[in-house]
Amino acid sequence: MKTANTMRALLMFFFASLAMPAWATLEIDITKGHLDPMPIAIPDFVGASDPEREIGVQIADLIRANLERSGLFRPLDPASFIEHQNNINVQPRFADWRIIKADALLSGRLVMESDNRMRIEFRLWDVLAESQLVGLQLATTPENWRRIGNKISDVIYQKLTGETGYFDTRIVFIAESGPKTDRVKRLAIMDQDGANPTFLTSGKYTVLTPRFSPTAQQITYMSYASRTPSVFLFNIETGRQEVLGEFPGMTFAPRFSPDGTKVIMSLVQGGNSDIWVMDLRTRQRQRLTTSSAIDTSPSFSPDGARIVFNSDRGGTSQIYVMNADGSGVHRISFGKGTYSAPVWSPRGDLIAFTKSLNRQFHIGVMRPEGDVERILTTAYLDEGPTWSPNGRVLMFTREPRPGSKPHIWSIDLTGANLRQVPTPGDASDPAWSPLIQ
Amino acid sequence: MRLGLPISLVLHGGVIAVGLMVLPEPKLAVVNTPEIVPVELVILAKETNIKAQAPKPKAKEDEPVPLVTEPEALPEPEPEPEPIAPPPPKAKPKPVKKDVAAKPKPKPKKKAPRPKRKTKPKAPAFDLARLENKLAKQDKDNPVSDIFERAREARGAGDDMTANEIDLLRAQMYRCWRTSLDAPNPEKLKVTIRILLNPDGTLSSPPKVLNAVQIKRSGDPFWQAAADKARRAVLRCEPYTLPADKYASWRDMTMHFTPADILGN
Repeated sequence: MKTANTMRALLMFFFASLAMPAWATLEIDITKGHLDPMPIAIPDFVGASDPEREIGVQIADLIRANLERSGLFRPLDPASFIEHQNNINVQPRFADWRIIKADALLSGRLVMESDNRMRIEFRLWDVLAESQLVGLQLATTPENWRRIGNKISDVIYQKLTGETGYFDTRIVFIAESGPKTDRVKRLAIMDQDGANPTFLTSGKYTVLTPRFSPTAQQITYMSYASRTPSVFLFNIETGRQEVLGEFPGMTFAPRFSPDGTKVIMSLVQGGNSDIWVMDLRTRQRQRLTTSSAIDTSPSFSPDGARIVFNSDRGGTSQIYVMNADGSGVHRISFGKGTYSAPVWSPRGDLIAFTKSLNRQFHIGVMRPEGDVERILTTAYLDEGPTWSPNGRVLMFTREPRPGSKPHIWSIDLTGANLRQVPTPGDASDPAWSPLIQ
Repeated sequence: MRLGLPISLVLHGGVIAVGLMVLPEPKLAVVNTPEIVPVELVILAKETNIKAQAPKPKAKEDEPVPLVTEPEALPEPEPEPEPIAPPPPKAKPKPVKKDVAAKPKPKPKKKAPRPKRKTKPKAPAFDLARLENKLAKQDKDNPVSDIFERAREARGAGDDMTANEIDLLRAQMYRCWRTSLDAPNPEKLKVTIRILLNPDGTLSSPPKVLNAVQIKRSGDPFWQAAADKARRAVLRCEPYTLPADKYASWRDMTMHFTPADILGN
């Protein structure tokens, strides 16, 4: 036994000595870097005919706009390009791209085929390492070019940041119109960049708090369509709408479980609001909280094991976390002010919330343990955060001044890159879809 | 009065004698003096700015860049990708994804413009390891040896990077390295890269991620992206602006990239 140990020690020493450099190396710790967007060159996609080139320009424009809007990339001005590739199947002249300080290069080609289909090929190059990161081709009909552009944007984003993208997604929101006393609130949907807005409901009845299913083209929301305001399910593809469960009271603040099989919501009974969960297949419901306080805005953790919610059981509105069966309730928000609308990040590492402090509203994030709280935005009214499916970006409703119209804004979880999301009119309560399958 | 002078003399002499006895010469041996590290007296900010922001351009960048390369036989393009079978008729056909057959063939001509790299850089001015061995031996033989001299021998030769020079290098890396501070648990995304340099500050071989296996095994896409970012930083920073006379100390460097600060802290 002892001999074996000695032998092992000797062997380890031998291999360790092999791994050691011939002479001492200079060891340096690098801890500080920048968070500047990455410069990327995206020439227009090449094509053999005018119609091909036309769509090629549109796709490249869309990808450039997507990546620029993310705040993580800086698409370079095509006028600065030195090399003009005609054939994307030949390795680019990396030196030409290094000179204009491009870290990455996307070369794309578009080919119209018979039967009204087109094929798009693209290659993403690492200019510094002089290697191809990915080469893919996609096929679709020409009118589907926007989805192709979004899908390519997602591939680039994923390859260069390590995170999955969020460009091939949609946003449901409440489109608002009319005077403040007689507001028409309709459910609407659009692409994540604000393109293709469409109304989903007529506006005869008010719709609030839409939430996307993480797994299907389905939305849950609160609607005044029936006698008692209730939680509804809505299938985007069929347009079918149904009340979710016959509850003896008003239901609100619904949200899907991460696997899309359950909906968690608040139910008001006798002036007391508690959290319930309903299985969508069996329609069985289960009560999770029983306190006499107002418990609302529940949101599952991405693994489905825990639930974050909002309660005033401690005197003021604060954020609490419990296990999925309702056990182990504990408070996680301890800062000044009041907290509401907590949403667990799909990435799992953070919980976003609305915070009210000193007559102003903020969107913030904290860890599920309640530590490391960071405030990302401040305005007269900022509320209702929703996560991008990769847990990187938040959208929320903002009213900059008293009496001003609400609009949708987005911000990166670092607190950078605050932008207004274009909507056809006033808009509130955005909810981000998962990546479209 | 007569007695006064001798008494005064004796007493004064006594005081001096006592003083000599009570305050002996301090022992050199107990003084734990640190090694002397040569430090240049320069204003850091000034030097940092100049050197970090204006790295010398590569030799090849000085030359006019040909807008059109000489006509050269292009390699045969890869076989056209197989057309994709049309999906069943649907209102909105889903895009189909498929790997493009193979990687494109590189140009037959090898990357020419890369600056010439010496495969065998000049031998270092001295062998640090050997010197350290020697010092260790000296330590054993003569534990209270002349520490000042030893320090001068080891560090004072001017071959080691000074704190300022290391700061200059860090400033260069700051500009080249896109941190992963925005990833979850960034402090865990440590990437260690070994780089070998030519005397002109260019890389003499591709940078090597020393913990690549650990990163790959973790399956963490953020860590993998952090490794790519660190590797890119090392490549982007080439050529490095470093003191030419201390080549021996920086020809072989290991950089530990660790995003240090957590957002909001």
